[in-house]
Amino acid sequence: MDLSVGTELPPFVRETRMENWNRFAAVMDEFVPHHMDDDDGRISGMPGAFGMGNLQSSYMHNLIRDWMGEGGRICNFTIQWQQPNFKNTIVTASGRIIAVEDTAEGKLVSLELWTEDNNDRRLANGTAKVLFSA
Amino acid sequence: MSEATETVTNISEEMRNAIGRELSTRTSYPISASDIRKWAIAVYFPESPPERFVGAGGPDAPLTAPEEFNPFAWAAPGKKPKKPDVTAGFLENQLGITPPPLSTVLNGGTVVEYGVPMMEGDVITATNRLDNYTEKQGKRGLLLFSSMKDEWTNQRGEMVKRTTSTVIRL
Repeated sequence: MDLSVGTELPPFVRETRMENWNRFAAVMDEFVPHHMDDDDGRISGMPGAFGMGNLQSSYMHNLIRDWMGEGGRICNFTIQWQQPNFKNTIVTASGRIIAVEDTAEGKLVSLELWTEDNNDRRLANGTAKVLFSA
Repeated sequence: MSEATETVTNISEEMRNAIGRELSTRTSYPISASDIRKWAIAVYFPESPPERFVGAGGPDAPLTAPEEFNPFAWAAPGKKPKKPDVTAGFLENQLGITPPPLSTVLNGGTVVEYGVPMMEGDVITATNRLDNYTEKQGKRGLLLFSSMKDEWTNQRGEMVKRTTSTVIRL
């Protein structure tokens, strides 16, 4: 695995629609009306229903897990939501290595993360540190 | 000519005195293999999740939960399901104090430190505290930043994760 600074993670891509959001609402108990119904989304000032911020967080975690496999451990993670995820858009979670540190426990890799949709709207920014044990 | 009044602060003495107070403590039911599988299927949908999240599980090979798995999403022992408080005063309402006179809530982000992973069979205890109030002048007026710290431990007292969540109110 290439752990050099600048290396990009293979993106995690999903088309987001009610099918995704309903499944996430079911496991998270997040049946908030503006995630479930276009009319309620419009009441919240959006064009229609919009996706859960926590699902963006899961997509970033999926991105990291798919890249690191079982050899890495996520030590910390941050996320800042920027814009809502609208229905029927394609969301891509991306990341790149921004620092690598040799520690007593192994290589500690710092990642810059983000999600954006197919209309070039940035949905969330994040960071993570992943430890690959020596 | 009328004098414009500018809000100096929305942090009352009562709110300041509440910093560090516990918002809630909850203990989960034991995490089941089915909980883990369902979570993984939902967050990887429509593709299949990694096998380690959807295998047979059981005492000999318990499943490991995805890091962001939430064992408190549905019922917890001693807690009756209730409608979430989605008002701008949700935080102070939990503490039984007067909320600030603000109506808009924005999610300011989350910082998570992970400890040991959550496994099938684990019982997680979470203690959530009011961490701090700070203010900053923004384009739309005075912004109130409220942070909460939630610490999760497992049945052996091992740290599972520490989450600091920030909401911005205006």
